Amino acid sequence: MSMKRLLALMLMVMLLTGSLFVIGCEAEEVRDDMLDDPDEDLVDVPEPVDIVVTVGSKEFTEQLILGQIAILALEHNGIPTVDETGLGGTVIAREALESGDIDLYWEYTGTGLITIHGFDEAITDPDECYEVVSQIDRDEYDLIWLDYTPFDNTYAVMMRQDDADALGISTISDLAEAINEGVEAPDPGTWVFGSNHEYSTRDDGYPGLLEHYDFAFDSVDVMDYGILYSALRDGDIAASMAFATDGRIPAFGLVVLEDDLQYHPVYNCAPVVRKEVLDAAPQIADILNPIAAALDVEAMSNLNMMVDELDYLPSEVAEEWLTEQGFIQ
Amino acid sequence: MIKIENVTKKFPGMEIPAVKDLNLEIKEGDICVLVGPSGCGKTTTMKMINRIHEPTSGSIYIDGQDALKMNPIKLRLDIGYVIQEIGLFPHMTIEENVATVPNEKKWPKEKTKKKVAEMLTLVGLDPELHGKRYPSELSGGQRQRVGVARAMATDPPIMLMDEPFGAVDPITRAKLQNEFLRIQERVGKTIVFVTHDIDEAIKMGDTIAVMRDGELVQHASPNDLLSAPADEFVSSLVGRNRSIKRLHLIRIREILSDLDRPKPAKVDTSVDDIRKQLDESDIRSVMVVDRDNKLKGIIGINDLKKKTGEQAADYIQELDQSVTSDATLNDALSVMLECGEGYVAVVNEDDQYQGTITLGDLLNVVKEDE
Amino acid sequence: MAKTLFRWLFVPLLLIAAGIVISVYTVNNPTDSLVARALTYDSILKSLREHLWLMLVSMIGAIVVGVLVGIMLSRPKLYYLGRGVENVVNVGQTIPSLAILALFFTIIGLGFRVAVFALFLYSILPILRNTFAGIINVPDSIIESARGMGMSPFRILTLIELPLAFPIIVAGIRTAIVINVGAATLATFIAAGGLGELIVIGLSLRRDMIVLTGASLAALTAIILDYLIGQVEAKVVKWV
Repeated sequence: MSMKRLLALMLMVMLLTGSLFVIGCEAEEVRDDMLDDPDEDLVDVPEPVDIVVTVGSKEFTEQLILGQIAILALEHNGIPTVDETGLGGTVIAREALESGDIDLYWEYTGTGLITIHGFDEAITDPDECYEVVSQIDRDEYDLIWLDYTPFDNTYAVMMRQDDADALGISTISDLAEAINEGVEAPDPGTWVFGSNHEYSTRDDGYPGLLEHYDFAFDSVDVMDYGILYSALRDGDIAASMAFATDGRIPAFGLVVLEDDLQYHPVYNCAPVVRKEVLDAAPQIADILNPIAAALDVEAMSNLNMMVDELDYLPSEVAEEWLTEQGFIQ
Repeated sequence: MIKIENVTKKFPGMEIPAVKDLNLEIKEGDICVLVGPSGCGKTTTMKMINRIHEPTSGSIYIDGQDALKMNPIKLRLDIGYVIQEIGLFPHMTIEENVATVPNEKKWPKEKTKKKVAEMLTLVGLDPELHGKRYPSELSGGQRQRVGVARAMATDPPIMLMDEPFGAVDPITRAKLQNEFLRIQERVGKTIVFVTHDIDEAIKMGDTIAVMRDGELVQHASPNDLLSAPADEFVSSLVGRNRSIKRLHLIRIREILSDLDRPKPAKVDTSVDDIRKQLDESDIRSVMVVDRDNKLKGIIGINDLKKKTGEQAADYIQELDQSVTSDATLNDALSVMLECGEGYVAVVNEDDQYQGTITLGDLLNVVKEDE
Repeated sequence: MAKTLFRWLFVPLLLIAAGIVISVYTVNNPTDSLVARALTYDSILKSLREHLWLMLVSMIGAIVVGVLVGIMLSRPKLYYLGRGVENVVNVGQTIPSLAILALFFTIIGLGFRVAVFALFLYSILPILRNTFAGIINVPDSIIESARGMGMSPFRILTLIELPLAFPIIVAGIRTAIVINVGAATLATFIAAGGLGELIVIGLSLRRDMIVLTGASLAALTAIILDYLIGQVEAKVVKWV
């Protein structure tokens, strides 16, 4: 076995093992994170605040990166932080925030709506979803949602870029039409849809997708999220579910189909802060809002890819991006 | 019957050959005992006869045929084989074990079944009682018997036995030896018998081949071996007390008829008669038998002092041990020492009383000898 | 006869009944729409069928190949090779089953056949090792007396060595079943279905009812198989 194969294997083992424990989340490789020393040679040190912000995150790549972005940005602006990133799943992070163990973490609007507040019906309009969730949290929990990102880490349907180009498919409607018209399937030769376990059964997952777009795949292969992307790349399945900002989409030559009939709920991301903390240091909003505004799908996918595929540390890519964007020097 | 000619065996990786240029001839119907200290090559010699080990050089003839040119499997089917650990198959019943060679020879089922029952009876086991049991359910002595029955099941003319009675206590061993000799008298096989025990060799062998360091030192009858050991090694092997060893060579029945012994009492003989009998002679006890002449026990002069009844039956003391008339005088001596008595009762196979042997009788024999 | 058959099947039937009761209860009492969608008679039967196929195909293959290779390695000419293989097998056993699945995913790809092959390879190990050890450990005295009585090597193998090694081989098979039933629930990670699909769906949706249904059916399957093999062993091995 070549060295590359061996590395791929080892990575796969780690992916699979990790996913056992964080199934349902967007399971990603888990790694210990390193906290960079705050820059000491900063020039424009603003007036000091007598508050320390404890920043948390869930335990997958995107969350780790976002956590580091918040830490670096706050530190750069003279707000001391404690790094509590990598806390596990949604439930753990949220409970930590409510109890005051952490002061801030990035949450997704759709997750707030369904997982945290228990709504049955998804909302597909980003603004509407944000309004509903942030209002409940402000009124009932004293938690403030800052501005949300343009990127929407929602469920998506993806294909291989080559196949999509060859078949002229760019939206889910195009795909539904192609299948309904009996267009010959690309590899593996039938319209096999790949899905992780959660999406295969969720109300806002695969069953609803077929209903919403009125079509049907020949079959579904349910497998671990960690191998969906390579299974699609290798031609084991014809199309697959994805998370829109996964770094492997650009890396593996895959493409997300436009959700032209607005089926999938929105999962824009925003820093959620305890009101108490925000009152003590209102500039936190001014610091993080422009950063959130700069995080579009392309930016987030690239950051994810650099960690997942190129083995950079979340803190490294966070610092590089913030610098590149001019948020820190 | 068996002729070993210039046979040498060298095991791979060993400097010294296990058997060196051995010549040995064994006559039909004889028991030839190979004896010597461990590592002397006796077992290797035996195992070359059925080609468990192949000789490095030399030839072996069986009934005039070159054994080394025969199909080894066919050769072995006609040679009974009993090894030290017995090697019964633990997953087979006693019947199935004894039927091993008949099955290998593809005998019809009925014939095998009959033969198995016959063999078990021959070695003193009950086919009904023991046949369906597994080896783990038998005693050590019973397993040895099964081993012998299995080896003889197809009446092979030749038998190889490697310390077949090694793994049992001395009393049981003596019993098995005697039984085997009784069987051998009837079947007259040619037997190669390996042991490290010179007493066993003297008792069992028609001839004894003494081996040392892979070489044959002396091949002679037990009597000749005792009276004319070939060298220091042989005489040290047989030991100084050769007269006592001679007790191995004499069977009880050979001297029993010459002894003048009081008649045994019957169970219903009156106590007074017994007391009278004891008073009239200088003996201190009398054996008691039942109507079928089966031995019931003994009454000593002291037993009669306590008045517990009118008939002999009321005074009987049971005996711990008795010997059969085909046991050797050495066996009788062993039993006496074991029981701490100066006598032992002799019975036949059906437990019928034959007579009594005393320590004095044994002393007389040894004395005559010298 | 009918009575012994009944006694034989009593425990398995009881366990099957338990599985049916669990399935019927969960299908008819879903806690919400997710559970209702995940647990239907169709989905449970499909997962169970896939699971049984995964286990049966891989186990039968593993028994046939494991025993045959174990026998071959126990022959005197291959004995040292056998010792080497035994060590390799012991090391192989320590590789997690998930890693074996991952290995075959990266080399071959997805699906039922890949999962069966991985399970087969994983289950072979204890069977092969025990077959080899069982035959090697038959006492020399027993083999020698069999040889001395004129049994051919093949007869010795079939009449003496294999029957004596049988309890150890069966112990290997039972170990393999336990390993197999656990590993089979992981097959769903590479799109091979099985009861693991229910378990992982339940975990990812945080619906304990789905997890418990899948897990208890998998456990019952393993217990039934182990029980049946134990019965066969007790029937065959009467001499200990």
